[in-house]
Amino acid sequence: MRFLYLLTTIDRRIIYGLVFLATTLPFLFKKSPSVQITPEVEKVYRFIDKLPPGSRIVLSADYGPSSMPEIQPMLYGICKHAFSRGHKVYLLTHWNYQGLIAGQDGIMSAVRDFNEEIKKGKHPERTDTLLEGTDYVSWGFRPGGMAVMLLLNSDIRMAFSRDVRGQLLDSLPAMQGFRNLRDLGTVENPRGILIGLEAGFTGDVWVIYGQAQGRYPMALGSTAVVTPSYYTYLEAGQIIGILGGLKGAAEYEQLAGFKGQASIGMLSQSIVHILVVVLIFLGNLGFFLARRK
Amino acid sequence: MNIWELIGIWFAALLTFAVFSFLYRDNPVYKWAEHLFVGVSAALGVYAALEQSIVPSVREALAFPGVFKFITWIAVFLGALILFKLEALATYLPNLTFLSRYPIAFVTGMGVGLTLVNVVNGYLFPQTQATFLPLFNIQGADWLTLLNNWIIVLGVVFALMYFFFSAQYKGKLGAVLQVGITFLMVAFGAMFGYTVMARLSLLIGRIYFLLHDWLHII
Amino acid sequence: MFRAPVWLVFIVGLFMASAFFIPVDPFPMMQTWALKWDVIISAFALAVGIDSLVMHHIRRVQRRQNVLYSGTLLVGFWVTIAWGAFAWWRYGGPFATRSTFLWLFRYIVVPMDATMFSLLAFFIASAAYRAFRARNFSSSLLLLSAGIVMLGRVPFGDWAAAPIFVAFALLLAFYFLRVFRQYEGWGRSTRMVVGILFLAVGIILLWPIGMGGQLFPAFRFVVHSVPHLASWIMEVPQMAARRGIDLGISLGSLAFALRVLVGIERGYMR
Repeated sequence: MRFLYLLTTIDRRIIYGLVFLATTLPFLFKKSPSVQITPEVEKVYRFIDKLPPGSRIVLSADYGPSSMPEIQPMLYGICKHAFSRGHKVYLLTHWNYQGLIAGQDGIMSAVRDFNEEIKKGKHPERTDTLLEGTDYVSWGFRPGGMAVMLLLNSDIRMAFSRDVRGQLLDSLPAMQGFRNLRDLGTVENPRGILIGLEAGFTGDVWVIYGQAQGRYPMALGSTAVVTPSYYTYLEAGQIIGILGGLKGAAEYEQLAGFKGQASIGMLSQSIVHILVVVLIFLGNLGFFLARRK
Repeated sequence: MNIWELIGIWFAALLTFAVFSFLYRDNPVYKWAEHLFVGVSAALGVYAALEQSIVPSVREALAFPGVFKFITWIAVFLGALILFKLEALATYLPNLTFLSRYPIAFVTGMGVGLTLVNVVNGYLFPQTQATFLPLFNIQGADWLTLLNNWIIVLGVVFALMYFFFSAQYKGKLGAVLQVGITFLMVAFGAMFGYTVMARLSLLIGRIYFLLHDWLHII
Repeated sequence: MFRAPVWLVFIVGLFMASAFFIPVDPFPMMQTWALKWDVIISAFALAVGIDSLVMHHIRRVQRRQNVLYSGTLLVGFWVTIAWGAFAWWRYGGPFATRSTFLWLFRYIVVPMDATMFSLLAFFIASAAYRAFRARNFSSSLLLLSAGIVMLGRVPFGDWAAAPIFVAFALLLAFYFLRVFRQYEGWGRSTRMVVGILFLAVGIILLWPIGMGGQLFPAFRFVVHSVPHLASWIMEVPQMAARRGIDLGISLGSLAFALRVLVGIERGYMR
């Protein structure tokens, strides 16, 4: 009984050490376990997969360095999938400038890896490598939140007249025939999709101000903190799917057929979750033993 | 990898451990790293505002033809009025600080007007409509769907009642409010579970950086 | 003193609200240009917050308070400003893909910001151990929901869930049967019944043989069910409660917006 009681009064630094070990040691096994695919992630994957080639995937990178471990793998996975299906990718940021750099880094690494795969012949339908301005465009960063979203519904060039390199959007092949977000079509007749990669509550703003007026297909990829609040939009049909946290990113990677950073991290995630639940059990054990006295 | 990337990764690893040292206790190394971070990120924010927002706005103001150029220049002028809130200017020109209220009022008015329409159109209507679900087996739905519909309708109604009726938990109303609390507790538990997942994912990201990018173990 | 700005809020707010209902020229164009103004003005607003931070630390250095820390902040700030100016001249923009300025973001801002937030992982584990108690029915429900979601959403979590649920069931059975202390004012017979129920759950979960000779059938049922139960919790009861909360918040934000529109709320002026 004394041993049981000692288990319930562990010093916080020992707990920190246990959490650190539970996170670090699984990496050394270099295993990427399979994850169970949830319907909300599969819907996003199937939607992008079924879009006609040349469709438009607009990514709103509304996150920062503190959310990169969860969201960056989503962005990478979506870009790789989109490029493999011949879709065009457009990046914008309006929440925080850090999303612009993180988003650009993610797209550039997907472009680099995809171009390597083209050179190795893994995509026989493509002979030329991906080009900025033709296959992907980065619109840049504009503060203004809902104002930017509403402007994009009427005319993209009113919010972003040039891309992040300073080139006029009208001069870019990828922007021909793309006037506003309504050109993404509707859920019944899609010609693209907007995916908000969210760390805060900008996802709510996108749905309420952007999608509600524009009626274009939309999905959300978010940190696990804000994911629960997006299920209301999923059930109401305002978004077609959610990629929630590192698990959502790992599911997307599994569907897309590669093991990236998210899949590698899932073993650590499992072990440390089990540790936290066991710690909660030990804490309650102490609580019940103390009440017995 | 070039020498600057290598130096950068080692500096990043040093800063990572400086922050982790806070777990033992607050110390000068952590405070130094924290202040360096705040200074650098503030300056990065200045460039983000300048190069990504202010300069493109001024460039567009110059590019628009005729009356639209004039209209855009008014916006740039209004935006510049906010700068009278800067501490440096407010110290030397305190009598002109009131000018910064006009652009703030404009932005506030925009936000308020857009909120009034879009919250109703984009949230209240669709979400309320989505709550009107069939509760009886009219369309041949299976028992699980019906049960879920009952739980959704009752959950939304009782959770709303809990927040709107700030009454004591007595009698019939008290019983209803208790049901509302039950739904809320399930929701908060799920949110807590997801929050734990998110925070642990951030730690996993840092450990991945240390093991993969810094030490090349994985 | 506030009259003109309050009138401006009213006029602009009323215009933006009514323009939605008037899809006749020139209202859509005016609405688009108003949104454009909003974007331009918001860009200047970003500068104001940064200024107060820098001025605060300049004053601390002038007063010789924490010179090392405030000095580090100012040095970091001005070195970044100088580096950004150089990158703008050399590469056409500080955030251009080839720009060396991004070194500061990748190797100072990203590791610091990410690591600071990752400290929360340790704190949340420690807090869960110390404070997360099944004191009453509500908190027990919260604990159960959190446990199912945490274990059901990760690989191997379902396999860990079954023994953990057995342990909790037996612990609660022990508590209700042996402790006999007050639990939300429940009578002794109620506590006995609940204790026996939890004991039955624990025994059934550990029962080794089922129909057709299947080993540990209830245990395996829990393993199979936990991920589905986690999904169901997220999609049904959690979603319903969340919708109720958010409907209340949206009604509150509408009321607040109306108050700001007619000038009752003026906090934004300060």
